[in-house]
Amino acid sequence: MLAQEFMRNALVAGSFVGIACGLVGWFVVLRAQVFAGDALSHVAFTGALAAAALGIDIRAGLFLATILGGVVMGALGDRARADDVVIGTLFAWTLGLGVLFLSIFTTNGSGSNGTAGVRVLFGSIFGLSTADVRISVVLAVAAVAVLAVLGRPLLFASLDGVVAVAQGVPVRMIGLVFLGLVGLVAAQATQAVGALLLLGLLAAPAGAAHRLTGRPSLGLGLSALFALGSVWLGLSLSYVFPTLPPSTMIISTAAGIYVAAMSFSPLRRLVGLSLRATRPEGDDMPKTLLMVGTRKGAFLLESDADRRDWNLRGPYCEAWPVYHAVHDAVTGAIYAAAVSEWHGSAVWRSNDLGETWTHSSEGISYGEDGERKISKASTLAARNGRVLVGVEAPGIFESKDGGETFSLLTTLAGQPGSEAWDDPANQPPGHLGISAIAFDKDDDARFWAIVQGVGLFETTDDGASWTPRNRGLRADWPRPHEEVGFCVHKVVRSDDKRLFQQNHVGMHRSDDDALTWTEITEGLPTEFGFAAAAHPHDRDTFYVVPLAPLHGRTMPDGKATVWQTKDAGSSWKPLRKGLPQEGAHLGVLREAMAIDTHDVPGLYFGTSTGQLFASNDEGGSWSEIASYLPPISSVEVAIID
Amino acid sequence: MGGSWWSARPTCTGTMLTSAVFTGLSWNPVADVRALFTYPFMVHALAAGTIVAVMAGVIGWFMVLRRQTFAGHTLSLTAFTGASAAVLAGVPIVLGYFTVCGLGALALAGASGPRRSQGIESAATGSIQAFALGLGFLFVSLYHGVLNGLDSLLFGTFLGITSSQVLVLLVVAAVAIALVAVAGRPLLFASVDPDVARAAGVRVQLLGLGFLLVLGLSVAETSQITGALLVFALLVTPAATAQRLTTRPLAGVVLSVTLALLVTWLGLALAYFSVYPVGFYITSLSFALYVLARVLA
Amino acid sequence: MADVHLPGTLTPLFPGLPRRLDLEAATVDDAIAELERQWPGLRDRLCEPGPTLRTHIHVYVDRERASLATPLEARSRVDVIAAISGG
Repeated sequence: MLAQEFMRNALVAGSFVGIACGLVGWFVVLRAQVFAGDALSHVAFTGALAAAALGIDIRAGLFLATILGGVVMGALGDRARADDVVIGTLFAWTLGLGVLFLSIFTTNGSGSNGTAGVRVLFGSIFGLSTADVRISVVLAVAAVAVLAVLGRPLLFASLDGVVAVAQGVPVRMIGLVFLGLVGLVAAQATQAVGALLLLGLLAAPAGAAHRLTGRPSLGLGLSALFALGSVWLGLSLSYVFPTLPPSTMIISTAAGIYVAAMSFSPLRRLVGLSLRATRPEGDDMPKTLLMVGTRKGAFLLESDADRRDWNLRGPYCEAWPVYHAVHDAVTGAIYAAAVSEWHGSAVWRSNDLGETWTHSSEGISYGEDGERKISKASTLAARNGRVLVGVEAPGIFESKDGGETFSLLTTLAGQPGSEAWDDPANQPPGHLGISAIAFDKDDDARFWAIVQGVGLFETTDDGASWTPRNRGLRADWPRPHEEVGFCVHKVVRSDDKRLFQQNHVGMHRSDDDALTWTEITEGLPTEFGFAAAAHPHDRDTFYVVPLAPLHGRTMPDGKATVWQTKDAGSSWKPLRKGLPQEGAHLGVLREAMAIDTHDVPGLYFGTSTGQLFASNDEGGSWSEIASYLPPISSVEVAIID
Repeated sequence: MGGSWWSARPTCTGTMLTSAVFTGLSWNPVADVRALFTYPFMVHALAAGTIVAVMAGVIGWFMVLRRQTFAGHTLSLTAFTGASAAVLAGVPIVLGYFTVCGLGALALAGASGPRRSQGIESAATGSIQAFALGLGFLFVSLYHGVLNGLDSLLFGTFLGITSSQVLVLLVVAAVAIALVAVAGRPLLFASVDPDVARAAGVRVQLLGLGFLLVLGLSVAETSQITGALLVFALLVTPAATAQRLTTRPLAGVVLSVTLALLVTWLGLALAYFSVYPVGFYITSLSFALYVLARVLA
Repeated sequence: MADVHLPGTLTPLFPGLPRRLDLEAATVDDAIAELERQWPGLRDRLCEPGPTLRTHIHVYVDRERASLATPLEARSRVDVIAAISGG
């Protein structure tokens, strides 16, 4: 086979073109610009045939057209989207123009011109001369060289455009040059596999590589390897079975590799991702797990890292009302604080992600005399087998054995006004209890607790003593004591120093670890709300769900909206895409919103009418992932490896 | 052999452009129109073109509304594969068109997901597209495809359309348009505001699948006139033009159909009197109208 | 031996707990203590600190409303009911 010159030429040219396509294609898929490749293939066809019809060097027309086309698309910037009718129409017309040139060329030429269309559309890799090969190699090497130079800033600009711009990277120019490069590579690929099929060489090897790994160096290598393999195998098959056109075989091989990459998940483990202990059964791709506490039990929803499709299970905990369900990130256990109208409060736990459950309330009691009673276990915090339960009447119980037995940790006695907490005359309609507990990131002895209607407190000695952390908060009612008497609804941490808070009256931010607070309500439609979430990777981004105050407590105007700030509360933006905007009188309770820690975080909130909404793009768009659950009290999310 | 085709410099054809373009055109409108109807094949072509234009105008309007133009484009390329497979297998081409477009529509419906990773989904679509086209080329090659066969499959033809073909086109178009007419209101609702529609009990998913199937049929039909590559010209551009001029549904659909008809008749007439493919004329005319609409509106 | 009947909400909470069983006990409180012995944690589901029965747990001894202190005869029938309420 290698003895034949045409075959040697095809292999050499094909190899270099393939590698260039593989490397450039990896970035094309990363930047979601495959549609640009499609458009450029139309341009390639037209450019080549225009040159033929006008009597100039076909290659010149081809390269000129594609590089120009690439630059134009680059200049259009964000406008160049696949579903854009304008772009599509423009490039469709380009194809029509190409048809014209083909006709002109065909009607005026000799016999060989009759196959012009075919050659341009489907390539002619077996018809390359040595000169052609030389030029192909040179151009391919040049393309790869440009890519190497462009590589690092291109990667930066592709992965994090906003930050790159802020750091002075010329993102637009890079984008322009890149698409010009894609044009160059597309022109080369046209000679090999034809204008109609070059998309396959740009997309399939790179797509396969992206399916297997996210690491750039590895991905680039795999992409080039797959493209190379497609060319060799395709050409060999075509040589052995001459009825099979080489371009078809090359693209079919590439497509086959893509399919293999899709279905071969153990390979994904082998190639590139860090070594992990493999699970005996099931795949070990990271799962995203939602734990939803509702009036009739705990529900679990599972998805993968894409967070598109969710699998709903439940109800668990014998359909007891569950106020809060959480995940212990260290032990993997799930805990649910539940209260049965008949059988009292208990903490349910599952060590197998919800397959089986047990419950315990051993030790959750203020004493047999019954003077002070537990009416509700309302909130949980769990880490490494240590479980803290916040209850009404106010107190925190602790388990050190993964939820089997509990003992009283603290009642926050001694805080200003705490002697009056148990007085029924002082009970707010929602009762008075511990509504939230949060651990410090590193220090086990340090945590925060919210006492409903009283305020936020911090302990650094494992609950022995507490300090109020409410300075600067608003309270529109008279308070007998300076430091307490605030209605803190939800506190979320942004980083070591910054926290955000949704208060009964207003949104607040602290930049000194809760020592002082400032109000950031301005820009929001109401000052009332319950649920809130902080972006895990961006200390300036925070999400809230404003609700009508007083009795209503549903989303204002019947429009479901989550509000976002990206500048720590200076300005707010409504997020509505995919959320119902008419007649949506939905309430979201304080624990019913969560955000996960994926690179592009997913946001979730559950309503008191049983709908669960999710976004897998930081709130950009939403969809309803469960519609008929019982009223939802809490939503928490965890990434399970 | 020394140089290759790619470095060839064909003789200049510039001078031949203008004189060869419009042969037979007498520049007398009445005579020219009468000339169009002289031959049965032209009558069939006009009939087929009319039917296809009406169908494309209606379906295309919804397709542009639902932002499914890329899906339509991908489907049209599978039309080429279906047709060439049919030619190879020796079965009527229409069968190939409709079967593969139908299957393609189902595949698209299955694969579509609003939140798929953009990059990877388009890589998949691009790979499928190229693979399908490569397969189509294989079929044409295996059939020892004459260039004409390839050309007409890709770029359209109005030669040799039989009356039975016209009948098939009519029946399919009637069915498709009837389906859309029946489902019109809920389909509109589901296209414009899927979440609210779903909440109101509209079967959004089912309608979406149904529409993709009808789209597949529509693409198959249109491909027979404009060719697989230029389906955009009839299915998208007139509808896009209409939507630039009015947002009212009924007016929009009527306008879309009118524009498609105009472009088709004019395109067929021009193609009859000249040597260039009908696909080019239809594409250019509809593009020109679109540009005009953008400038005016 | 008292003939004890337990509510359907209780039995799924404790593996092996039947809907009906025989218990040797002098009072309702003793019966619950015996149940606690065999199924730890069960007491907390029926009683609350006081000690007293939970508000919505009704106990009937031979069809008469009872409390923890109510004595049991040999062959007494004890019905523990989770009172129908809630939504």
